[in-house]
Amino acid sequence: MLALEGIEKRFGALAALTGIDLEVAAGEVLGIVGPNGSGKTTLLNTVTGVYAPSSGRILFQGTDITGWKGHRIARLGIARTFQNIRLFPSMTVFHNVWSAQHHLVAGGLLGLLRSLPTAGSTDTKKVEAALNQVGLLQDREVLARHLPLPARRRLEIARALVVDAKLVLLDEPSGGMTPAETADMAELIREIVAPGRTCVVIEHKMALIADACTRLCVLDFGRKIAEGSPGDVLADAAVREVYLGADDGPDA
Amino acid sequence: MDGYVITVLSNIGMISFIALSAYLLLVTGEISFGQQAYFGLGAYAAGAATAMFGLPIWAGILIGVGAAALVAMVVGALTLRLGGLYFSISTLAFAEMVRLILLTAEVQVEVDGEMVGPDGANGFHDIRWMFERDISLAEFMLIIYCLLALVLIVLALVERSRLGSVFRMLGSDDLLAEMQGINTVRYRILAAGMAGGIAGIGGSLYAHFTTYVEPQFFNVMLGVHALAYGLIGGLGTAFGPLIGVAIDIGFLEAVRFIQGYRMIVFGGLVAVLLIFMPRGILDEDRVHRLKGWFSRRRHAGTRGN
Repeated sequence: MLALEGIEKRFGALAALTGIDLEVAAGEVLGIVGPNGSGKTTLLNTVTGVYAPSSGRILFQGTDITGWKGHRIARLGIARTFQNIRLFPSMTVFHNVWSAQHHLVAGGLLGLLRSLPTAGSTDTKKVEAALNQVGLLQDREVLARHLPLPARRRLEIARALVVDAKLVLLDEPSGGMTPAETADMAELIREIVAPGRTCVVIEHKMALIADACTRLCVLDFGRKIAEGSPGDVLADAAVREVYLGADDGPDA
Repeated sequence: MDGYVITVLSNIGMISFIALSAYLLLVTGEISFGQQAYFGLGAYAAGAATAMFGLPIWAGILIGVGAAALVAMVVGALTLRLGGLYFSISTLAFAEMVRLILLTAEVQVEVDGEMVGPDGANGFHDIRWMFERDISLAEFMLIIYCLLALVLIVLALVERSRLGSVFRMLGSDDLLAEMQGINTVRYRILAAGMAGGIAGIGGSLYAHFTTYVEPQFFNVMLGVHALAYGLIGGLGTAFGPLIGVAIDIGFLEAVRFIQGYRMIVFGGLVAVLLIFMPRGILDEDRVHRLKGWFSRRRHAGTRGN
């Protein structure tokens, strides 16, 4: 589904990513782990077109999307969330999700001048279904900035659901959450992948990785150091050394 | 109505266009110190159309709007990559460039034995379309307010449309909008063109109302005021900047008691509002609450029937 070939990203003299080769198969949940500064978010930003890679190729369903602008990549069906959560804070929960499907509106300028959704219209129902799935339907008229943190992360996921994204990239979806909230998030991730969606998750918490991911990729200093099933990867000596500390067990 | 009242009301109307122009860009998250350039371009282009080439005023206004919008889109495209303060400074620099070009431009043609047209620092005299047709100031004021109403209706429609939603998305989080499949470049250029065109209407009218324009009028203070109107009146609705204009010109300038102290009072007002209401009197939250209140009242009313 998604293939990275020799991706390199340099910021001046700093090599944030070096020679990354990675395949994401349809229907899997690939976890990307690694210490802070290992290039996880840079990898996500490169795939979603926040910036172009310095070299290498990115293919999505066989299309070379290297160097494409972010909005074109999004239109192919790639949606993402953000480590530090990005919402439109002055818009309601409903409006935040509804705004995610702007690019699906047909009809050019005339389509743009159509008024906002009315109750019962197709796009309203889609938004309601997405909000229902993440459990935010009762908060639809709340301004996004008044939501507690777990609800904000769920709202970001609802945006990916409403456009029926084929590939969903989650950047630390359980960041700042309690163990109970993290378990809920793992369940939500498994739910959204069920209808044939593909997911890439950047995560630190072993609980969520073990619960939700079908495969793991480990980054360290911008290089891929291991890849495979969660059990194999976490048993790998090199991974344990850079990520978990040389002598600790995988109990983080 | 005496002439003084008509002049004050007409000024409120004409300045409202540049306030709305700056407001539209504020909504999309851009602080422009240069909208006076499009006001000035509109004034010169419309004035040239009627005084030099004998076109009717409607054609003059269309040309003024078109010229302002076109230049605004080109400048918008050139300054796209600049963010925040750098964008603001570039708009200021461009506006000063336009003013200096107008200060040196001498393009005159002979009309009825007289030389008419921009005459550098002396300005552009004899834009007499209104007087040649015996149109009174009161009648011209009506034209101003009809066009202002038209612009407000268009902005209100945009506000409740998907386009308005896209503009607010750009203003709130540019990167998020792009990540949601919105071609932010295209919409920024569109917003720049619309804002330039709106300022151009104000300039076109101004040239014909005063019959005389000079580059000095389109200096940076006009642009700063245009920005301040939106920040005072509020960025939640297009009526916000009009409140700002009304407070400044309608109250501060017209009330003789304050005269001479106007800029001091105005500056103080801006400072106080920025502290207590950073996005103006009618900001997004208050507009949201007002809308909720109105729709509840309406629902209560229908149930009562």
